[in-house]
Amino acid sequence: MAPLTVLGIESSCDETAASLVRGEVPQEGAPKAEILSSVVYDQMDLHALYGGVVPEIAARAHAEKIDRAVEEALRKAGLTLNEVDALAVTAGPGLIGGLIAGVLAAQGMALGAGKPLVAVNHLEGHALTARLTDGAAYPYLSLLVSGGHCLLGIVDGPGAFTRLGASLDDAPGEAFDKTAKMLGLGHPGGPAVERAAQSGDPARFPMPRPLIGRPGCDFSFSGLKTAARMARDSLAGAPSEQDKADLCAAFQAAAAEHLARQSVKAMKLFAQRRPAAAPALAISGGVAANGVVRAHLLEACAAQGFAFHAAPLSLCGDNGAMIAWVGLERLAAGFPPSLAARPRARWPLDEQAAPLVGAGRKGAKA
Amino acid sequence: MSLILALDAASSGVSAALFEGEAPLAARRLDEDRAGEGLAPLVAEIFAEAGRKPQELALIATTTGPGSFVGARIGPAFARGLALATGARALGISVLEALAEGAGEAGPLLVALDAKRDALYAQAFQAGAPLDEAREIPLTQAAQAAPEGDFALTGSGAALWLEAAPEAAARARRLCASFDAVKPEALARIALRRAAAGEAAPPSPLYLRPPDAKIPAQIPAPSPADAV
Repeated sequence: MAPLTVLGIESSCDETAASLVRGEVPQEGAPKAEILSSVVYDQMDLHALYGGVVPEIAARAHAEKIDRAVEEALRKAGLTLNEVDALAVTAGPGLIGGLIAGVLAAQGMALGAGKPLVAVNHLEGHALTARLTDGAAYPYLSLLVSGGHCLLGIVDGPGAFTRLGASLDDAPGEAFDKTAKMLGLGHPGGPAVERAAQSGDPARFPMPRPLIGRPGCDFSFSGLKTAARMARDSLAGAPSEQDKADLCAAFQAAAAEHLARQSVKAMKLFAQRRPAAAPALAISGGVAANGVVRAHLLEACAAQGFAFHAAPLSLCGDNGAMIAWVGLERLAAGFPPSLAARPRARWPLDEQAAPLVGAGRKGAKA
Repeated sequence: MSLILALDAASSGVSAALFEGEAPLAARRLDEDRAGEGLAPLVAEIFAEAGRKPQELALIATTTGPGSFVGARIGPAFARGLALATGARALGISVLEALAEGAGEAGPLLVALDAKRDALYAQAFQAGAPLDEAREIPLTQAAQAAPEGDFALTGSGAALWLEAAPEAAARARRLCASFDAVKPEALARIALRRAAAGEAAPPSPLYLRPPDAKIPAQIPAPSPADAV
């Protein structure tokens, strides 16, 4: 198969992103990929006042930014839309307003340029990032940790994901954001907590160890969030800078330990279920940018004999390159493209797994 | 002559029509809530029916709202994508202006849309030209939207307006209900006029109503030490 050039578009939360990726997936050996351009417009200024992402404000911004992000990505790659082989767009899961804007813009572009369109699951974008950046071989274990998602499972190929664990309540990034909000550290909260924690003592405030002693690889972050709030409320008066640093350090260490502990359980399952595979763990998503989380998982991989693929910092957050890459892998694997890409607010990556959270009319959330 | 695509997802349902100048070539309509998902296939069908190609497009005319927030985004997002790929010029037209054009009234005309939550979106026109700004008006102030003297009335909020402004209702002549829907030929005519006048601004959704989000009061401001 000749190399393909794919335009990827992402607008499922508060980043409007477009990217051009060229690559190929040979029958034998590692995939090859080159990111020709990657443009990410964030909306942090729009949401900072609210201490979190406001869906309607995000949707309004996406509707007027997607074409500009695509034009800039094409310009940076030195390409025209006619020179692109296919388009890929995030169709879910995520905030429906942004998804509709992205999918409709992509539909217009694909129709106008006469190019195939691939509807991409955002979670698959994160999960396949290790293929894009490191040429990771299937199968591998994937841990996706972000502001909206928390998913652990085995990746056997595009469209072939087996869930081993997921969050029973908050996503880890959400817990980081809420901890930051509660301490007045501003939005986005993840980097703010990490910065504050640098000068903190993680041992000063005791934190719970979520789901300890329970079987399975699921996650829970709401208890950590509550513990952080109670620790803050136990202080006499407003928290000092040192109180904030100590609280952030305690919360961050507990979250990283929880992620590593459940991942080690999943590594053992992976070794049983895929005994012939070279064991590897790939981490992705915004929380994978956290240095303490990366360090804990690196250590866990070393202890278990797993190779460790951490998404580069530029691709931890939402981006168009990972979406373009999934489009490329899916086309290479023979999945049919379709102009009628359908936005889906809820779209579990493992559609065979029993719903964990939020079953009902709208479908499983995780 | 120029090939024009007229799109509307902001008034009721989703429609697409193709024109050569003002002459209709093909039209399709999807009457379902989630029709936005199917805009590309719908447009591909009318190109196939007319035996034309998207690359031949000169103008894309889309409604921009006001109406549902989602509907206001569907047309502009798709039109911008299509314009980027084809080099056609995309222009945004408000539902209020499109209805005024479609009504074909020479005298004063009030277009009123049901904005839900006891409010209307309203604008007055004379011979298709606006007399005031498009705006959201609470039902309790509906009478203020009326133009001077006798006038025609149209739009999904016409009945609501008559009820809310009984003292001004005697001056209003309500147009037949078929005028409440955006006519694709009205979009094509407006786009032709605007293109001839050199307008090139890309379509943006017209909401006329801010998002429902309140800035939380209790969040302490970040201290300078926390700034990046």
